[in-house]
Amino acid sequence: MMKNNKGYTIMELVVVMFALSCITATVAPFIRVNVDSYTQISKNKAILQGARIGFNKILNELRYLNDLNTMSSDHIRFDAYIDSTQYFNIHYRYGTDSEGNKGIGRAEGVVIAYEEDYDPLLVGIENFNITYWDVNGNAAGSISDVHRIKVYLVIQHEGTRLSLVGQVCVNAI
Amino acid sequence: MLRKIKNFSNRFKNQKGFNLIELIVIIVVMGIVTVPLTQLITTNQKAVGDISLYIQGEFFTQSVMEEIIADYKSNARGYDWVINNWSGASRSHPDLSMNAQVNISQVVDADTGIHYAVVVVSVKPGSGFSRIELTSHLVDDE
Repeated sequence: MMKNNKGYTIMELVVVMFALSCITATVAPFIRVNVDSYTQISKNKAILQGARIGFNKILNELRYLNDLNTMSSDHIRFDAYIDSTQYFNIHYRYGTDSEGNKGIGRAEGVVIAYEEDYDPLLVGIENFNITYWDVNGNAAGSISDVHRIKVYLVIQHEGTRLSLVGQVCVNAI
Repeated sequence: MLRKIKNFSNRFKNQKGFNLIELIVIIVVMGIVTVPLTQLITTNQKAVGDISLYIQGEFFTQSVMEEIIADYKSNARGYDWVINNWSGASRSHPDLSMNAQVNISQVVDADTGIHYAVVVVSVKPGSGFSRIELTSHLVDDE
């Protein structure tokens, strides 16, 4: 059955390889664009999701604020009561870790240094600013005057830019 | 059996391969199919950009509503102050070109006679979006 079958000549093989190369060269950029887009979309989605969860966590914990201990534009420390007897001493701080990445860290209890004690909550932070307002809508001068806290956050990471603003009315200080 | 195999191999004997024109037609068809697929991916990428705008709009809407509630709960301000100062007011996002519009309508409950305000904060994150609306009821306790 196989007796009379001829193989391909070298010329035929070269022509086929050349034709395949041409087709691959034409199609490859399309595939590459699609793969790059997919990768970028996945990264963007992860950043959006992370930012949403992280920023919501900050605002939600601030809603449980009972005693404000430290108020500054890049650092807030407060006691958040989960009931009348149990509370967490929570810190949020805008800082730079040991690798030089700017981020917002969260810690509980006694903390000493950002890079050692804070768990990174959000990364790729371009700007983070906390402002404190009194009952008249003026900038609060002291902890006892704070009635409302405004958190401003700008994330610039992997080509995604997010500018988030959130406020919490604090009643129980 | 041998005959069957022979017939099977004969079936392919006289078949020709594709000629150049046919191959070119196939390549063109493949190209035509690939272009809409690429556009589909681009559309998805735009959708992610839209989601980020929407998230920023959501937080901004909540932020403005929280500011109104803070004024309502403030000992120095309260219900009347909110009605007088927030009705029809607008706030601009610090970075983006989106505005929050505040509409307040006062209502009296027919059964209980309680006065309350329906506060609606709405933000349009961008063109092509419907408005994000957040509603809150503030009771007149003064």
